[in-house]
Amino acid sequence: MKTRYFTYNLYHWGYKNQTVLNEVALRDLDSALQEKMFNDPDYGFAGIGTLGNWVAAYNAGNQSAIYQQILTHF
Amino acid sequence: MEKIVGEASMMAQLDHAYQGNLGHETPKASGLTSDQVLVVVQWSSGLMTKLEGIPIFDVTNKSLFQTSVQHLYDNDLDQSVPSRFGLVAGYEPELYYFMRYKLGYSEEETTMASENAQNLLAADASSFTTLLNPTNLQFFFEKYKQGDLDSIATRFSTNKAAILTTKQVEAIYQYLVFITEKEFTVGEFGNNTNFP
Repeated sequence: MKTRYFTYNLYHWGYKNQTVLNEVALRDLDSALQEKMFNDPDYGFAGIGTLGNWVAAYNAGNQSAIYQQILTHF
Repeated sequence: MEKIVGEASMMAQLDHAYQGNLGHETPKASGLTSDQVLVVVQWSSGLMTKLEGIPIFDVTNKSLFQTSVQHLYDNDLDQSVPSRFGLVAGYEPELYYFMRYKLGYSEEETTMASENAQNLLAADASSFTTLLNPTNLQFFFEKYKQGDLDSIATRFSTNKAAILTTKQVEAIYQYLVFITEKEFTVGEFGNNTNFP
């Protein structure tokens, strides 16, 4: 539940806002990749469910399967 | 990738802030140090449900709102379906809430010894009492089908000081059925196996 609580707050706090996301979390990426990462149907930040994959990767660390899946995907 | 989900990322900074809030607002005596402990508390008491002051984002006012989980269940803060907290959680995540407000149990009937909750949810699959062991679950459902709730209560009680009542056994059965149905039908995370 704590993870879901965190994702819920994270999403509404700023991750659902593409402008904020591009200026802060994705600031070093080119605009095409920013667009893809926001709207991707499986791993995009635009959906609270798909944002959950990023939170799962954050929690599980860089050796985890979900982290590697996202890395490979993009 | 590390800039997005690494230790110095925006996500990590917000996580530390939220965890600090959650920890600050939660009585230290509850010992909420991990998700596992949190689940035990959710099963054995209404602490997390009733606790006022947990910061949750209020979509209408666009700010963190100090409230209780129970308040969110009872009064959806945001009526636009995709972002309701209830949908994010998928279902009311507490056995306590289910027993108290769905089944109408009294406070006394609802409260379970934390020792029992800990054993029912133990991650050790070899445990004789965890519900996460298929053999134990089979015993639970077989005895329930036979109407032998006493055997279940005895098997899953920790000791004389931490006895599971037959009424709690009945509630656990109902809850297992409830969350299984909900997991398959409700929640934006329903099909996301990466999301605990």
